[in-house]
Amino acid sequence: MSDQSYLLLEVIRAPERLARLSMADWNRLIPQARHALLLGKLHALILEQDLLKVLPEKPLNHTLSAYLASEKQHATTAWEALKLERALGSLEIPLVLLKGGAYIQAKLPVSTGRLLSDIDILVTRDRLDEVEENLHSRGWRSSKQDSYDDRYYREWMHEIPPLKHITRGSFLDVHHTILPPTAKYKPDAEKILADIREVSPNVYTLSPVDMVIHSATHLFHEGDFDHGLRDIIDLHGLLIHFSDNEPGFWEALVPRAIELDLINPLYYALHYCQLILGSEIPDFVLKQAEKGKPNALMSGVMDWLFMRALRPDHPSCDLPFTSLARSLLYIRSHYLRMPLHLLIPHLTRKAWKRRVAENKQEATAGLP
Amino acid sequence: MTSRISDFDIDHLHALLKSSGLFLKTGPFTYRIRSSVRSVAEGLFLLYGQNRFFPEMEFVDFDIRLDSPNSLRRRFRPKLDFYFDHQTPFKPLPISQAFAFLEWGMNWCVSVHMNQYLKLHAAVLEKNGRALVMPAAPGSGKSTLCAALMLRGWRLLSDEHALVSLHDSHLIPVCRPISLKNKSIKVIEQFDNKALFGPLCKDTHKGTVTHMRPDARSVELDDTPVKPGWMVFPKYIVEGETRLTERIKETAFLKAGEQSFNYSLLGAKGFETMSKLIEACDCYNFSYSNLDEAVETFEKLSATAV
Amino acid sequence: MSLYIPPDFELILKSYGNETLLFHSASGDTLLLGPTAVPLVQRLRQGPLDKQPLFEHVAEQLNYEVDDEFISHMEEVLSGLMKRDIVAAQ
Repeated sequence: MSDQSYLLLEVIRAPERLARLSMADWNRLIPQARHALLLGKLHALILEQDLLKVLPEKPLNHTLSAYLASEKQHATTAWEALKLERALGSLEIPLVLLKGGAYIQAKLPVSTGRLLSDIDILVTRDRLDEVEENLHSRGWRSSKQDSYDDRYYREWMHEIPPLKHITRGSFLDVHHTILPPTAKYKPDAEKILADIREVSPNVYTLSPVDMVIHSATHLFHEGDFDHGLRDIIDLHGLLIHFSDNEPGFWEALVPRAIELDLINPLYYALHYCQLILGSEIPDFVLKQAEKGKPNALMSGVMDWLFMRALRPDHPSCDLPFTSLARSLLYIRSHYLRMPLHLLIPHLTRKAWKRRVAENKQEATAGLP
Repeated sequence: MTSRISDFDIDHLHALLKSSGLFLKTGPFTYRIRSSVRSVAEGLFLLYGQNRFFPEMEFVDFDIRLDSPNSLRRRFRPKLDFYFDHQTPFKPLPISQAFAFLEWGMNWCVSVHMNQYLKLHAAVLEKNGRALVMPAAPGSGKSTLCAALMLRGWRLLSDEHALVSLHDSHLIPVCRPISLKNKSIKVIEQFDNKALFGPLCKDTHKGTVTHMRPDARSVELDDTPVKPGWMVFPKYIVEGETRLTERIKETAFLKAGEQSFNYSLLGAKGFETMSKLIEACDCYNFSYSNLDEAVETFEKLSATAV
Repeated sequence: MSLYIPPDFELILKSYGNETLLFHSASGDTLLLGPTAVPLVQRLRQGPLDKQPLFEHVAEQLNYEVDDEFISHMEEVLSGLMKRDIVAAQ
């Protein structure tokens, strides 16, 4: 890809390029990586390539800065996991970590330098009330004061409203399944919980195949493409790691996705990992996954949408229509998880809420 | 090759800010600044005249821009957005507050990034080869005191950020204008008529705000770190006596930690760096109302430099 | 009840001759230890100990008598340290 706008991607695909960047290149690369939430990851790549002493100091200050922030988050995540294990352990419920928190606790290479915004855990629906009550007694409170939001989450989502700890300030998402109950696909959370892996006493992650399928489902059905490139890099990292370390991983992957009714997002994940990052995926897996491929027209539309959305959110690498592509995706994913009659009022409500409560600070905020 | 901003005339500077931008160096950081607002050019010309800029492409730490988001808004009620890499992290502000907005935005850039230093919200000055670090919450009279000391010959390292090196706990200068607000502006004007101020921004959420130019020597030494010497927690008390009292280092440590942007983020590194900083400092509480007496007190203190 | 310092959680102590600061790596907390907490933590860093001999050790270090008042004070100190996961019981 010779298009200059793909610099971040080029560097991720071919890290040896880092040693040959001009200052003008760095001036493009650092903002691109910052917006994609990949500055810390970039630093991890620099460490991995042993380029710390070779590269110019000034841009490295930015990657190092983000890397240090990610190290702090990893320490905090480990601490929160310990606290959560105690809470759930007291109810004799296993702590099942999802996404970033799971990558960290399982010490997967994909977690190095990665930033996360909250911790996600999975609990069976029938124990949800107990868990919520226990967490409440330990200082976890709902961050949604608005009763509309609270009801929206409880009725239509696969998680309770996000919780925030009153003294530690950390955020927690408690999921009871991996897709909203109203979604078109209906994966069985019980099946996923039946196959979890213990990483430390009473602390679990999903099985390797389920971790990949969940990550794919999250990316391709949540409408959250703000960190699309980071998420596809996660997927790529998981595929590489499990391919090397988990016997039978490729054989199990597609059959499991079919069993969970999630072959469609897995198809997209494999397709785009290969297309964007050149992931090496065995032919037989790609062939099996064709089952999840949409028809030619839909495929074309998706390529058009995803290739635009899976870019760092930065004007220097926007193709025309990118913002249109992003909003179409947002509507598409809502369509996938809610019946249409519910879709319209919620989107309106969301747009209105965004206008009244713009999430911006006063110019002097950010003091300690 | 670098030149000084005072090498420009103001129209030339304004034209540059409207086009490719000014590559301004301050301490370890390079900002690329763009704005079509005239008062931004005026403020930069007046207050950053001694600073260096890069005529060629340099690495840019912070790419910032201050402009109206769209022409429609401009026609009715001119409000400005602060852009950092094309994102707008703040609520827009009226054009009359442009220069203060720029300064706040420039501070924010350092506050939320740059974790390769331990950063305290503090004024830092130097005398006899030692740094005076004054961590303080807003409203404690830190900037007024800082301005007075600079006007009496202390070298200014920063009015806002103590950047502490993680390697040796030395203070890294990032010498920029001193922010003064409300009554402090008059106080400093009366204290010394040499004080030179930039644009006056009225009715901001902090009241009336202006910025004072650092002296040429401070800007000149903007690349020279300083060993820590004293940590003082200032407090302005209306009609209060001048009082400098020693305090134990252990509580000074915690108090400085409270005024840090990233002490907690740095974890054990933060603890170690703060330990070394405090180790090297004599720690005091200071309350004052009379600036002349205050300066005299610090003059005596500076003689204790070892 | 044997008390110990969880080995995974690194503790850094720092004093400039007056009081003692403690950095708890796991939680990232920085605390100022009270005068009776210091010998307690220092003793447990050398190895686990039961509550009674631990309190007696602290009293001996500081020249206090082990009376009801002292024990109730130490119970409070200990519970504070346990709540913050600096000390654990097994």
